[in-house]
Amino acid sequence: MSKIEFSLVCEELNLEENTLTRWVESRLIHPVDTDGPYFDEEDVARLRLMMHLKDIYEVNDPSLEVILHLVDQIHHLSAELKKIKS
Amino acid sequence: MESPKDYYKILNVSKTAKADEIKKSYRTLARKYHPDLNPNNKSAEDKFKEVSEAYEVLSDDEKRKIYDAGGMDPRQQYTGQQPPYYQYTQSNDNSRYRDIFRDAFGDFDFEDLINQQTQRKTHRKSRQSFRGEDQIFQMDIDFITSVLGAEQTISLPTDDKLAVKIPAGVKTGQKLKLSGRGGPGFNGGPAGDLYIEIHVKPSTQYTRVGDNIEVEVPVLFSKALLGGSVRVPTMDGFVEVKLPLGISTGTKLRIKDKGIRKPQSPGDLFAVIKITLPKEITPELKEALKVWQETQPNSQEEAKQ
Repeated sequence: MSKIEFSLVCEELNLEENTLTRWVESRLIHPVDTDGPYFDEEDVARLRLMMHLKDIYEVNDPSLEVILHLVDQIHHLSAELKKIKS
Repeated sequence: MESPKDYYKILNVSKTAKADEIKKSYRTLARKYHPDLNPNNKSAEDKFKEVSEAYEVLSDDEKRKIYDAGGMDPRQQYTGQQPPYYQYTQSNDNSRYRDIFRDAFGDFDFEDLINQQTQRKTHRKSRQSFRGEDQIFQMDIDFITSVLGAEQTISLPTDDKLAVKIPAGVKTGQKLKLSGRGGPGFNGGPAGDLYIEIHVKPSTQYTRVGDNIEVEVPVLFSKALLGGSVRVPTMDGFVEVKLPLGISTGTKLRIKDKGIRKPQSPGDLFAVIKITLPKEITPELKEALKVWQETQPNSQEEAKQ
């Protein structure tokens, strides 16, 4: 997976640096921490979803956290389900 | 050559639509077709791509102009859509986000999450280092601990043990802050703080009033009339207190410095007297009281005093 730097992520997604800092600090996004924060494609896809929730659905940060935790749980459960089925 | 798509039609707006109209319509459609809300639904995903593409062109004045003029295909400028988030979490066995809720919270408790949110403090730091997360834990302590203060070792859910100094006089709801003992910082950022929210278990015997403590002390009526002393329970054993003559129920006797043990200004303990009657009234007692009562001019007046 490719690694993308902090400022590049902001540029590519047109995301404010303050917002990304806030999201990382509140652990909504977990950059890879080898040699400084790097974001991989999954992080970027997650950030894109977060931006959609923020911009399209007008979700605020506390609600965003709740939604993401639910999304994480659903993904976790559906992966577990897949394992059981196979 | 494929004929250019009608972006206005896709977004369900007129050709003269203003920017906010386009935005509004895009939001409505994007909400409906968002791939992360319609996982594994190919037609919704295609529709979302189409809507996003149309919005990317029509929301940008330059691109819109080119598009309206029927000029070069604005899709050449279109950056294209990346796969939706759910595809990563489904296809990637090592997704770091799938298990987050387990790692971070142990047994996941939704209320905890909401509480943490309301208590979280956000901090801004330089752009590439991040402060660790503030963490908050609840702790029950006995009433006596809240009065005397203590040092206690607590076990965190992370299995770490931590010595916590509980100051005398701590109250329910109060948070003890342990700077730098929260979540680790990231990329050189400082660690977050750890907060311990105190809950004082109420005492059945003692009541706290500010920095003072009240305790009810039963006194037999004869002792109240004739004088004597009572044993008053304090946080460090009984104290013998001499009763002044003629006390009644509700009288408070002060025992200095036996309240909340604040080092500079300890509170006091008050013995709240409760006059009690003997369980059995003997004929002798009855007789004696009758004799006394006859010496009273007006018992009604007496009651008013």
